[in-house]
Amino acid sequence: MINLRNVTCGYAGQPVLRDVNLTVQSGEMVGLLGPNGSGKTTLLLTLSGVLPPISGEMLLDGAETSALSPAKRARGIASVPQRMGEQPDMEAFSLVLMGRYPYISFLGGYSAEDRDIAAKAMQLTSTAHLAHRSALTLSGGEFQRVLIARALAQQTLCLLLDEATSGLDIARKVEVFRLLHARHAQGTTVISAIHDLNTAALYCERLVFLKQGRIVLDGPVQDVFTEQHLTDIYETRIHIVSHPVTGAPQACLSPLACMPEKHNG
Amino acid sequence: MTAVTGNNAQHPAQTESRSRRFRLTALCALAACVVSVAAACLFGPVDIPAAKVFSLLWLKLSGAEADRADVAATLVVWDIRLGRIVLSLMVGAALGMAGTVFQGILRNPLADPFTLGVSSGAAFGASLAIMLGVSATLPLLPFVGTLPAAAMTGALAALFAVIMLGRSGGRLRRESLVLAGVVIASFLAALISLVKSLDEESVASIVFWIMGSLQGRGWRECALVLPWFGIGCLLIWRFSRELDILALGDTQARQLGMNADRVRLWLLIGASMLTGASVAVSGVIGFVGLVVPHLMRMAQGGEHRPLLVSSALAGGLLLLWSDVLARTILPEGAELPVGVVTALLGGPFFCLLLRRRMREDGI
Repeated sequence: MINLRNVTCGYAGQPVLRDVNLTVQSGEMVGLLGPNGSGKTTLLLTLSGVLPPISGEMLLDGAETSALSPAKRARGIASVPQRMGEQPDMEAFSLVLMGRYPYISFLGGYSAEDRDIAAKAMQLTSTAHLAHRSALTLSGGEFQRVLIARALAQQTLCLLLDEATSGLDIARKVEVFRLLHARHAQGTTVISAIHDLNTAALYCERLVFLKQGRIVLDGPVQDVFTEQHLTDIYETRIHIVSHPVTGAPQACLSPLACMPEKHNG
Repeated sequence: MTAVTGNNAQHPAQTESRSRRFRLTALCALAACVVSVAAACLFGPVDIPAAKVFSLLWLKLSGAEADRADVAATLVVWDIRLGRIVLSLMVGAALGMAGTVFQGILRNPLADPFTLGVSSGAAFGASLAIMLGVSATLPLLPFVGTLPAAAMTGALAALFAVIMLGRSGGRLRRESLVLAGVVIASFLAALISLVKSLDEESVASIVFWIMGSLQGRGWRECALVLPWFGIGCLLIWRFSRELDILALGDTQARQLGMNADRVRLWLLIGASMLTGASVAVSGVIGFVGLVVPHLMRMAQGGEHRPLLVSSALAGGLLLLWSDVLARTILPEGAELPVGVVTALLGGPFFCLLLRRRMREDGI
């Protein structure tokens, strides 16, 4: 369970998120949505423990995260970063093996078991065939899946993803979300910033909307994924239809009206 | 989707060939080092036949007493030549490794062991010692001599100043480190100029020292370098895995459970030990710590463990043969500073590679 209580956080003392209160139960699958610059990445960095809150407290299973050692924290929470500036010139397998770093002892190296776990994580993300390619030569989508494999190799009870599927084509995106959903079904907590509203509505149970550094909406998909809410948050007219198979709400843009009606009249 | 399974079959073979290729290259380089050490003993102003050189080396290595008639030759081959050769190998290896570490922690392929002002600190210490007179020996370290001790002190003091200046809020960021390094280096350069202008007699020896040379160095200097070299290597090797993770940036390093600032500090200390010890005995030898890690990275990718091994071996070899050139190229026993040789060799070679790479990248 993750608890944020009155958390304000940001960079160099400048708050980006203000007074965030958020509780995520173990095993939940949460989509983090909001316009650009609303603070999704900042929230995920705070949740991963990299960005300590300016004020307020963050608890992981009841323990203050800032009091945990980095390795202990990384055994509880794994992150898939948004994108990296430059892909390193290292084998993909070595990158995935880094997911085992929080488990190695002071003088010990990666064990055979660590290698097995890393290889298995690569199979799960269908990147096993890339294992001995340099990450420098991978496409953006392949590299993103390697990073997801690394997070899986960390074997944590909580996964944080920052637009992890943004570089992937539709089939890969579905593949990744099925994988996340399967993890979720096994009890892993998944918190994912998602740009694509419809993917979020299809796979998540709960959506948290951020806007201008505050949580403006939080609840089960059916309750919060409504025309009124989305139109207000994104300041664009959005229509909701039902998914033909699952019945999940799906957002549609209308080509002409670009501002919500209430602003016009 | 079908493409995924297409080339699954080839990866076990690839791994094997990759690690085997690395092991093979490392072994070859190691053998080349051993051969080079022996071969380099042949060069020098005193003419000693090759067979005699090797038999003298063999006698000495097997612990047998040398022939009385050969005392002079033994002195030349063992004490003068071999000591200097081993030192050049060690200094080259130290600079190669330190360069790899600095390029790794600063995440900048243009960094070298001297980026953070360690060399300027050493040069200032040495300049001061030269100005005040080098003849005195230290009471605690009688065999060391003032010059290396002053250089080492200067190197460590400069590093300490850079770390103190570069720390902000308990963190050790690479941007502030580089900035602090530049500031400290230029301040120390000004101090060196001040020393030079205050004492014009010592200008020549200060300049010669700064250019880097192994002239007249031998086993004594090896003994001085060895402890720093050993501890530095151990530290760097211990944190070499972390170096790979640091290369991904601080955010990811910390998300993977690494205390990035502490690891960076340890690596910095290890690499500075290597640099400080090298500079203390041989002055500022440029280009080895810049070019060698860079070339090795081009050849075998960015993983740091293999990179450290090959940079050490290649750096040692490069400096060894540069030093042979430095002491044989001029007639009548005159010597070039080895720093000049490495820069003359390394510069154009590096430019050539850079041009080729730029053309390959289509820039």
